[in-house]
Amino acid sequence: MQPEPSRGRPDHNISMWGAPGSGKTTLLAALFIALTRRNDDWKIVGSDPASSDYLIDRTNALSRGKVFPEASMTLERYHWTLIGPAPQKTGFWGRKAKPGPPARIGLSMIDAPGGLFGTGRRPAGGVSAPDGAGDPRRQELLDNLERSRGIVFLFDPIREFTFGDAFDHMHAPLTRLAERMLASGEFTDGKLPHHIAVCVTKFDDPRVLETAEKRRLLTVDLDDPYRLPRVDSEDARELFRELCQVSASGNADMVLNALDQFFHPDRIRFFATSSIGFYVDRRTKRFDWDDFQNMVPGEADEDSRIRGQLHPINVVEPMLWLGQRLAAIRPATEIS
Amino acid sequence: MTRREIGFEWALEGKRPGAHDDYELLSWSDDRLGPEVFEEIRSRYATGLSADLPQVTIAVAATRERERVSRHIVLAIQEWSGHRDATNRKIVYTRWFYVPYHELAAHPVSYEALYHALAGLPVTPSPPLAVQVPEFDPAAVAPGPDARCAAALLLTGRPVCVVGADGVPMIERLRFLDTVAALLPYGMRARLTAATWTSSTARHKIRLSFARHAPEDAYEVRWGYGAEITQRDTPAPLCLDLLTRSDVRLADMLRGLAGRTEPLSFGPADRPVAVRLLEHSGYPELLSGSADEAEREPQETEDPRDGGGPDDPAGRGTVAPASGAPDLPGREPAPERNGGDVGPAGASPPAGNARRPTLPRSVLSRLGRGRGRAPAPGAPPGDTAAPTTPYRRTADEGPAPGAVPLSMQAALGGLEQAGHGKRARSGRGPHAKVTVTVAFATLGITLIGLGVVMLVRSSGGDPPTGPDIAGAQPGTVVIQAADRPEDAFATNVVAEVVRRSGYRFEIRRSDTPTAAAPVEKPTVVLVEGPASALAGEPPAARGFVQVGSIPVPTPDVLVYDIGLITPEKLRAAFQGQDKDVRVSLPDTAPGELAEALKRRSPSLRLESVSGRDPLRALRDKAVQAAVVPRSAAGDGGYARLDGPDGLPGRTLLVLCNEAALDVLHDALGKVAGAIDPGVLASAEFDWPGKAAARVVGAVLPPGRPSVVSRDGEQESDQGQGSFWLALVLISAGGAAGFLAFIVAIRGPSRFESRP
Repeated sequence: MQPEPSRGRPDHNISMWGAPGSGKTTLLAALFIALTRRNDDWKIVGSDPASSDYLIDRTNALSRGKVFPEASMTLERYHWTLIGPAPQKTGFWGRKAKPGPPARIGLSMIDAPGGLFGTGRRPAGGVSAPDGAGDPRRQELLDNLERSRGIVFLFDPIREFTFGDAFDHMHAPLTRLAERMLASGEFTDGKLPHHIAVCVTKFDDPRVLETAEKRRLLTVDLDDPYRLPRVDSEDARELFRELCQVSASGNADMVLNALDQFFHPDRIRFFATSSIGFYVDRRTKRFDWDDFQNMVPGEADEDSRIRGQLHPINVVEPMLWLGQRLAAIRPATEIS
Repeated sequence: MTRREIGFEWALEGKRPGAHDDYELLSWSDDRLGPEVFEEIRSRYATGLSADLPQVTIAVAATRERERVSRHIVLAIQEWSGHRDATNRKIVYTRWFYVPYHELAAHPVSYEALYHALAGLPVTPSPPLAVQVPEFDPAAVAPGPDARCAAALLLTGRPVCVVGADGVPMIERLRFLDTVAALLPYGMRARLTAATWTSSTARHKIRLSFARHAPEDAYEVRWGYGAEITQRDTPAPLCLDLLTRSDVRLADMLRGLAGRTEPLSFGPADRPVAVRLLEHSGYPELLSGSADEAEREPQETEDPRDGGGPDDPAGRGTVAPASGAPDLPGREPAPERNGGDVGPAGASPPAGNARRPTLPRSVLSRLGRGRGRAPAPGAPPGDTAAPTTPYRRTADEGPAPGAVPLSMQAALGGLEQAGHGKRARSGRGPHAKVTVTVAFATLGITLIGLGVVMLVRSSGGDPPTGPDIAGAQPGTVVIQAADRPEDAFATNVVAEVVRRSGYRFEIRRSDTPTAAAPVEKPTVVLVEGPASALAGEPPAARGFVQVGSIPVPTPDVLVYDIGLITPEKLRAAFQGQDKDVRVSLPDTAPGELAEALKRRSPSLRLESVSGRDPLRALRDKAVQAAVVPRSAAGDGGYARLDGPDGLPGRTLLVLCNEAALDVLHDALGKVAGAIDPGVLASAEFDWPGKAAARVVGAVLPPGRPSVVSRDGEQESDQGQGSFWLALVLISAGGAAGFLAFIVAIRGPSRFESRP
């Protein structure tokens, strides 16, 4: 459970799952900044040079270049270690004791192009399985889902409102995954053994924020100097349900039902996430309801850009929750 | 330069402007190849997305049409489309071009020429689908050490990744791919996949790639420098030797290789063939020499079916089908062996084929060949007759049992020719006798001389000292280390860095190195690192700064039976992903090792065996892998598990005080950062002194020798190795002298022709 960051590979495989453009790559790119913005001592370290490079490059691109990453074209794998604060042990008779070793959570993240989760449409005349199962990249993706025990599922409410295809990008891989787990005897209680963090992305979009505000789901962390609005994890499910109502296809509610059917209730957690966060004026240093949009859509041939500083919201939390849950159950999982 | 039209089919992968979907095939030529063919290739050879476009990927594909298989070289050009998708992200076009290999075999072209011809076409080309491409000119190829290393390593069958070329333009990288391909038989292009860029975080199936970091299973070749090739990387050392020999005319070799257009794979059956073609193309002068010899001796005439020389139009591009049998019979001179056996493919007895240069026997045996038929009764055991069979493409082709390396042929001068003459006709006995006697005597004296010199040098073990050297280096750096034998590698690394930096060193030992370290002198301290799996927190060292960390080669290594378990499965087991793997552990291993293994890989089934025979359970097939001391790892011929996933190891922190920091900081940091913990289990690290010298030598330029001042004993195995090598040389020299004596008194009777 405690791999050496420079020498071993982390143990906990976590897969990103979401439609194209839902923000998988951007969420990973914002991880370092999100951890740095926190007041605790959690940090992220690459477990191999390529994974460290990614952290450095993406952090620079987001914080300095203010540009979003390009779409993934193949399965990318990142090996990172989350290193937490060292727990302070209580000394005998109140004396100061030596701090224990810091908590470490090894993460192997898989970021796949969103199209691989889709229905595998082929050009006219193409002969293929209905979900493109013959595609070696899809096979690799399913292999990874089967091996992993943690999933970060990204639900893009804007895309759902526009195209309504979240369920299309969920049911085929979910069915294949269940089939594999059944065959390997890990579907005995009728549920998948995975933990799933459901991230409602683009929380910084005015339409999503206003939905949360109308439903009175917003809260503010008193320790947050910027007073950024948030949705507690307990209320994020409600936000998800609310946003499903405006699905273009009307199928979004089936996503929620499928989650309940395939995963243990205590292994699902909802998060309202924004990788870039809200715009905060550097002089006032306070969230402003009249001026909070941090993304500036690009003109004809320009990239969309990030307007101000990044204040990622619920980017680290899904990873930490998954990492901690997986670390807690890992020995039991391996024995079984 | 001739130009010819080359046909192609194409497909365009991308997104439509403003699309919300992922990448897909947008359009294709709709000729012979259907969209499913393009779908398959684009999913199979995805390399990721570079920020620096365009980039080129070279893939290969085979299609079947009415039971006829066609091979294609597929060029994929990735470039920005100028459009954006629904989320305003830039859209990339990947343009796939299928070019039939048979057209490229008839009219060899370079990848670069093909790229220039195809890249200029519109994104959806219209018929006629053909482009003019100039013929490949081998004379334009100028391989550097990196290209030569890459070509040699490709012949091991493992992928090769070029690193350190981040700022190199794509077209220069493509030229490099061309250069590497030119150093292989042209037919290997039918199977060579290559890319000017690959993502370091994506898995791919590209055999020759550029990346920022090499994948775990690939050889790393550094741009502009090359790679360290060891004897374990068979047959790369031999191939590199062929590609770098001064007596090989590169132009002839490249021309010869370009003519070998029959498709060849990188599989175990075809790689030895490729090595032979490489060797064959490198020595056209030997072929012409054979022809001269043939003129003198009419019995041995050149057979045009021998694959021919590189310039032989009859042999150009033709590789005979595998006969499946070694060609030993043909090695025997026809008049004396009475024809021997006839080749299984129906080849007539090779009564005088061109003499073909052969590989060293040791190399051929490592290639899995050379287990041919025993020499005919009566044949001298050390017969140096050159093979005389026509060249045949056979997977298990064996070498002549007495074939000698080319270097040895050169060393022996006219000996081999004398032997030929003797076999061909009798009556040269006295001349041959003198020649052989002189040759053996010379060889014996040379070997004994070399051995004595090495013995004298190894007995002291100290580097050369002298007033000029000692006077030039007044400073001495203290290396303070713990008294643990397994730390010898790290200590030697630091000592070598100090030496190469032009300073003396003094190794001091203590159980508490940080406490014993002198603060007033330039000092480097090696202390246990916190990342070590078997260690606790590092002790504090006042006034010292960490400049790096050095992984420690474990005293035990993990060996496995390849027939029982694959290395991938074993790695998975050590990562905790496979639950049914049994590993034996000697009872002499430290208890911490067993505990660390159980902690890290609780699903492993560890079985204790006697430390006196740690391989017993593996031999009995009771376990699939065994933890054994390095000294026993070579017994039984089991493979070792390399890579980071193996036995838990330790790391030593390198601390410097201020005085040492000024002079050693950069060098120590650079060397420490260059040590790959994933290779420490290999046999190269069994001798810590040599391993340290090699590791440092790969990073730092050779420095001036310095004086070693010792408190304890310098940990060097160099002296020991030299001693044994000297003994071997002296023994071999003695044997050669004895042979010279025997030949001198009994020679004539040995050269008489047999009835």
